[in-house]
Amino acid sequence: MTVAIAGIGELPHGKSVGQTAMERHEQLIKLALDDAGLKLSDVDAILTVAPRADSYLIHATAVAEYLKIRPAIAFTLEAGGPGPMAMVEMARGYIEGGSAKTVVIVAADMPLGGLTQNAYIHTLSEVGPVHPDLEVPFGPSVPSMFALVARHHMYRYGLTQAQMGAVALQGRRGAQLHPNAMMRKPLTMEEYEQSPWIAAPLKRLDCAPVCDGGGAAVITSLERAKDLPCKPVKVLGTGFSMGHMHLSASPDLTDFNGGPSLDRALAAAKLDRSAIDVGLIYDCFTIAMLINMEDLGLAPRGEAGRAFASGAFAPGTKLPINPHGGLLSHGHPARGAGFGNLVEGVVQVRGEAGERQVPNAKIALAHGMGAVFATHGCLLLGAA
Amino acid sequence: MIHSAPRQGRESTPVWQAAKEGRLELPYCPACGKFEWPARRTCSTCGGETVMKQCAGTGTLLTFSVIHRAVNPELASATPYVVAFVVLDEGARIFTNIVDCDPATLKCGQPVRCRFEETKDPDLWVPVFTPA
Repeated sequence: MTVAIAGIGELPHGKSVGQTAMERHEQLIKLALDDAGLKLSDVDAILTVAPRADSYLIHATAVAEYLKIRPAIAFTLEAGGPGPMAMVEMARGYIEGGSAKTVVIVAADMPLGGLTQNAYIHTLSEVGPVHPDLEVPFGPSVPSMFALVARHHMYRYGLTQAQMGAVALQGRRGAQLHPNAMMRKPLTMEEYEQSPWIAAPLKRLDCAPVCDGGGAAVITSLERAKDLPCKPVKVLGTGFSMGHMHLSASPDLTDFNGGPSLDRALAAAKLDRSAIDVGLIYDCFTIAMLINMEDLGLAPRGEAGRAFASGAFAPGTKLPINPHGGLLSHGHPARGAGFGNLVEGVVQVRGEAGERQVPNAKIALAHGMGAVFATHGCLLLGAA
Repeated sequence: MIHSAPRQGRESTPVWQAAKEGRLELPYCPACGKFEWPARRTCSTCGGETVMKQCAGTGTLLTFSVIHRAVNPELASATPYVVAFVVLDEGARIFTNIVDCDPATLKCGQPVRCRFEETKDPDLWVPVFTPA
């Protein structure tokens, strides 16, 4: 592959006051362009994910209008949690195909400042990953859909509550070292155990808190990136897969079709799983982390909980996972979710992660998942 | 609890109409010998028309979640309530509620039995399950 991530932008996650979603998009885009050493006038393609807090017929075009630029391409993508990975793939296509030279990708949302958390969660439970006819009449919440998978994993493989807690605790330890993370207070297993049920067997601390936030990045050709005053990160491989849209249509309830996304990314990069130095895995719930690790073939089937609880994916191990805290503690910026994994992948490969830096992180995997284990996207990033 | 209504005019509509009449029926391809769920009027394998196949209403609790925080304000007073996947004895797996039970006593793998409850659309009812 011949494209690079030339710049990234991220702001502190949390609740923002007195800012519109459009202003946040502008800030993130300008941060990413500054980081790349490029200007707004260089942008000839912009890709966005439509935020729930701010709706337009064509969101990307509205962003371009707001920025007063006229890129050739201004398209909005619907791809769920792998949206950032999918936008990188689209940017690669435009750049390698000659349609664009400088592609800005951005995904951000303001469920707290813009919508209020309850309104956002209610919307998600009716037009989100749940089937409008086969599931919604029975009153599911999104956490309850993940809880069904967690309970089935408990029944089938012996997953325990404490193993899910271990995922929450590891994420929190990472977030404490990240200035942009939303949840930075130390967390103990006792606090995890005492946190209230949301949808048993998931507790509040099994669920990623939605927050205002997101990220932006600038994609250009590797050749051009080398001439810019930036630290480009090479896109080594991209891969995608899907299994279903609604959980009711999945043939299995603990084994989904995520593996091919990583297989495809590794094949493109001519690498195998052992080459990955750091994994940024989509963890909207603790159970999502565990199932995704198994689906991606990074933990043996049925064993991810035991592995996490034993510290197999902690800092200092062969495969550290989510040093930034993941969606669980770095934050879940609604439609911008998943961008944090891409940004952390770039930061780690650049060696700029400070206290949470994985030593000699040469190859990072940034993963995104959409709906309830429905879609997957993997990016392999490496030093240019 | 209050069930919001499935939409009219969908592939699944006959399922909810049969439920109102007290029958658990799901679309089934006689040629391939399998249910089409999510509902389709034609078989996704052979393209033939599906028929509504009546099921006995008995099955097994595959997995469940006890909802303590309802997202729809209308359901707040119903908490804790149970959503579940049930595998019918005929083989189909459906999303449903487990009702008339102490959620703390439920176990994956236990037998369950169907009954029907109304939704906000008087013409469309839904199957729910109780411990058998």
